[in-house]
Amino acid sequence: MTDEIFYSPLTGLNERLRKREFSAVELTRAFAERLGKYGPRFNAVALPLTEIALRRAKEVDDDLKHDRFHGPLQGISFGAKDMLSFAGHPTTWGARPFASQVFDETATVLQKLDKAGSVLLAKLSMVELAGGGGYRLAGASLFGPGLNPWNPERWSGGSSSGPASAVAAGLVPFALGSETSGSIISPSACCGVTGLRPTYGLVSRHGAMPLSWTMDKIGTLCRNVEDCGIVLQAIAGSDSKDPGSAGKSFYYTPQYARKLSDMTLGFSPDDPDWADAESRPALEAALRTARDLGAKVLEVSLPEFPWGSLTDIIIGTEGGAAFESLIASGKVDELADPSQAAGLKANLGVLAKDYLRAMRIRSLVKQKFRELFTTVDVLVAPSRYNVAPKVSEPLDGPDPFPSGKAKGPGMTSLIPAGNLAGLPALSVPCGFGGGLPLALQFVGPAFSENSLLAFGREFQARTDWHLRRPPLSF
Amino acid sequence: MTRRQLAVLAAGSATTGLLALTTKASAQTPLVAPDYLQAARDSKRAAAAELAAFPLDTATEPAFQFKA
Repeated sequence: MTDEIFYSPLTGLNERLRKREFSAVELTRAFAERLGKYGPRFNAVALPLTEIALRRAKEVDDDLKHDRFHGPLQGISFGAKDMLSFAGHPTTWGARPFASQVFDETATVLQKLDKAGSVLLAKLSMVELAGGGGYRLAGASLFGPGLNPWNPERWSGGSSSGPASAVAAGLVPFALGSETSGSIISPSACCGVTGLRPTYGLVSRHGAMPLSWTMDKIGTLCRNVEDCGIVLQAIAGSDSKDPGSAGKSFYYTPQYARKLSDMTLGFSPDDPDWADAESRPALEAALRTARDLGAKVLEVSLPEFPWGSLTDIIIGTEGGAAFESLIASGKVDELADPSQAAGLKANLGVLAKDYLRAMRIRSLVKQKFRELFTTVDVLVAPSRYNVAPKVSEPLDGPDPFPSGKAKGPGMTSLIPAGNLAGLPALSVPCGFGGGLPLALQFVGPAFSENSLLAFGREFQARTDWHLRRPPLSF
Repeated sequence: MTRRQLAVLAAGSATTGLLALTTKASAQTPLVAPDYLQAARDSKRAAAAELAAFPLDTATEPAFQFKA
């Protein structure tokens, strides 16, 4: 096997497994060795599961030998953010107070992937408690700061740090992450991988760490758009064990996707003005490419809401309740980032009336997005407006670009806005600034994943940013 | 919104809570700063005050109901 397999798309790997070019055991062992070699360099690994993975791969080989095929994920290894429970093994939620936590049940999404013949190779690192208290240090994790494969002096993004860096470095073919407000889109952009945040309720959260019951989503980080569609089909679906389940399935059907020429893409002309100097040329070029994909285009504005305060109160209040016992025990002070502990404690002081007011305003958010999506089918905007920050600097440091000339807010609040409304988002690599990846996000109405994937697929057909590989030579 | 606020919003999950804090920290070194909790509480109060000022009429109420 050559290094090329580590960046092969899922369908390519599966086809070669079926042709017996290599076995699932050989493939799993190859990824395990690479993960063992490079994973620690990026603080990407929470828990290697090599022996279990090899046993599972042997079972898959037996199935393949007897022509028992289970679809495109059969025999493909993957990593899962350490907020997903895997029975009998530590699930740390990235936080020291939970370092020895073990559940006796496996998360629904991991069960679904097991049924599809996928092989769980490792639990991957994350920001402690998915950043639920509000973190300001890249090192807010039991595993240390997530380091970026494109430049280890830069952050991998969070809170799905390990999934993003592991996929970017070719350590796993794909990974599962989670997003409450930005935790898939942001690290996907920082590391140059393709990330999909599904509609709220499409993927079961049973067995996942609860942070915000009304905003948590499980999603995918992959090499390309096609892979995101394949994995989403496997993990989506109704689950009576998740009260937030929408009761819907997802079928990745590119052959039946609406033509782009029948759709309208909304964008804001103000967006490039929010980018820093080194990111702006690439983002401008990428936005031009997106506008030329064949869809009709329309200038639009996001509705105006106090996005930061809404996410702060809703995630804060729900997170404070979710971690009430941690806070009461005093163990919250063991977290790596003291601002997380302070934030969680302060969350318990939010008044019920303030939370309910936030939720009432959130109803208006949903209504305004419904109105917006009567004029456009999909929105496009930068996933981030700058490259990954330095690991050595606080995330909420002084404004490095104080002399902005943007006339309006553009889509700068699309991450919190989309999450508050429960909307799906797809992040695709779109260029580089100062040698670090940049990305665009496509956002659509609830359950419009196939439309987002259609835009992303066309974007990746016209560009090769998703095929670029970090050097790993430092 | 400033680019600083934008950077915090984009960091992933609930990183919006400490915008009022201006002390620059050296990364990876846990800080023992008694004003963290006060800053976090001040931030929550500011967020609640901003929401309180947001116009909201009862016409939105049917959209926020318990469903049996």
